[in-house]
Amino acid sequence: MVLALVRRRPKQLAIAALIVVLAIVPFLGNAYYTSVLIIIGINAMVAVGLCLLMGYTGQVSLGHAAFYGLGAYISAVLSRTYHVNPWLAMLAAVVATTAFAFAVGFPIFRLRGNYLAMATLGLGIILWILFREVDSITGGPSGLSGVPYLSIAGFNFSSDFRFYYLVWGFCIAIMVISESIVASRMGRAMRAVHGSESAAQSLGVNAAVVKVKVLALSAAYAAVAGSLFTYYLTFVSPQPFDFLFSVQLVVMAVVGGLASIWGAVFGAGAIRVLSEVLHPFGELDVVVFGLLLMVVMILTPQGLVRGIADLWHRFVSVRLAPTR
Amino acid sequence: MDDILRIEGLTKAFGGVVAVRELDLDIQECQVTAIIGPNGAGKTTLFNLIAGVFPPTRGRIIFQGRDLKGMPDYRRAGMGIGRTFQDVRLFGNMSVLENVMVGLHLKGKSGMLDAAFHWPGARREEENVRLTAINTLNLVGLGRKADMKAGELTFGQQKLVAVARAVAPQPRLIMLDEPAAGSNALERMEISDLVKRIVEMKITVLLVEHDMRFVMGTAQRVVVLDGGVRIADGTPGQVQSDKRVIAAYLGEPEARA
Ligand SMILES: Nc1ncnc2c1ncn2[C@@H]1O[C@H](COP(=O)(O)OP(=O)(O)OP(=O)(O)O)[C@@H](O)[C@H]1O
Ligand SMILES: [Mg+2]
Repeated sequence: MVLALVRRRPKQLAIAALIVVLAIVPFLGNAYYTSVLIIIGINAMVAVGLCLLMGYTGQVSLGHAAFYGLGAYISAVLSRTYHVNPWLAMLAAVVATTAFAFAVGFPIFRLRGNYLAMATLGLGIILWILFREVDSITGGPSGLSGVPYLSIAGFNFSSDFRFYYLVWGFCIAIMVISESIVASRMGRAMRAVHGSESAAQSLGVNAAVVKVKVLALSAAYAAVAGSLFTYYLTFVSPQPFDFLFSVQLVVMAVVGGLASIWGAVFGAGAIRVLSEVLHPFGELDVVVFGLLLMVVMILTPQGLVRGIADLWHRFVSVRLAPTR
Repeated sequence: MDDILRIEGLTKAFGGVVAVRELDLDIQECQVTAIIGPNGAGKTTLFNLIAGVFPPTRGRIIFQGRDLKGMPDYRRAGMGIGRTFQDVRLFGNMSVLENVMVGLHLKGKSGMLDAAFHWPGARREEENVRLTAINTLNLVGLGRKADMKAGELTFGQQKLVAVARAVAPQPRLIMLDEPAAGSNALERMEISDLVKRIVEMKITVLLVEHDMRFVMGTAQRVVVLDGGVRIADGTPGQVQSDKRVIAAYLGEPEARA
């Protein structure tokens, strides 16, 4: 019975299972787990956007931390320095970051392959330097503290317990929206551009516009995540938005199998857990991420999630073969 | 009959190689015109010029009375110019049905936000597109493969999906680059029938093909290119007996099958 359900509706079941597990975790009373899962949820939003761009549309970005950081800084500066309502500041951050992605997208996507990788890398580094150097606005390397909490009608998202549900609410919304887009006319155009740009164009798909739109969407996701991150910490500094984080995001998407939204969320979780485990060893985590990236690309180019899913499918179909 | 396509003094040079040279060509509506010629004659380059993949070095392309100068390839698709590729170029990771649905991209309007928020209009549009795609797959005889991954089909089937993908939006002109290459005799007959059915849909067909028997049985008119220049033009019968053609092409040590 249960296995039959698993076979027929794996996705719906997975969503339900995820929601149930996520809903329960904070009640376990382990503050550490809750805080790690908050960060995972925030990273997952960025990873899902990168997965749409890299996995579905086939365009690499080595600078996605820039959009994440831009969202965080705009929210922090507006709400802290200019006393704008934090939700409005977040909305402004998302709009501005999306507009920024549109603006850089058209020139950047004139490039392909390695050149595109270099340009996005450069973008990430430039913004990171701006975050550090424009002291008067960003507070420089030491950042800005005293960013306000988010609140709704007097209800403050000031505890981890509350913030946890806020973050995962956003994250699941982003996942559901992304799944719908991928299955839609737009999603087909994205995958077509990935498959063969020339064929897609011959059918009326304007590849440049598709790429820029996906970049803008992923930038919007990153800005939501960055804003939530800064309201969670009530603090912002350049360090979380450095090149290493851009690379980590790519590793998350790759571990998740690139063209899988679920995979990206799983990847975000796996990488975060791994870096928590490696924390005592300091800089060693960089080496491990590099190795992980290589191993996954070589052994299961479709990602760990797909690899595990294949095993699972084999198991289920063997077990249920007679009922078919 | 009217000319759907007029080509005037068309020239394309790649560095020193002149792939198409001072070509004048009028294509009549609703018939099958075959472009033949030896390897490197400039046939695919001609298709790429008409489709707008790259600009000509010189000359004009006038489609339905309109000069296409400067118009990018994706806009030419919207004008009713469809094509297939010599090397197929299916979207291998997408289902057969989805490949054809991409062909209907311009028949839909829904964007990212429609999809994200499940507008009812977008859903209706999606259903229509799906139905048209299934009908087109039935036309090429692959309705039963709709849910397979395009990359898992045989080469011959992939070529048919590519035709379905280009035919689905009902273009005014379709260019088929070697649709029967790599197919067996039976498949070639099916493809020839398919081409005739496409013309019945009031779609003008331009096709490149090396197999002479296929060309003779399918096209009303045959244009022969050699070195980017037109060396013969006429009915299949006329062209077949043209001395220059025999020298340039048919006389090649056993023309490619
Ligand atoms: N994009 C390109 N860049 C440089 N040279 C090209 C390009 N496309 C075609 N050529 C050259 O132009 C000439 C004509 O090539 P084209 O592909 O049009 O020939 P064809 O008639 O289609 O031949 P085939 O029967 O082999 O497909 C060849 O010499 C080819 O090398
Ligand atoms: Mg060719």
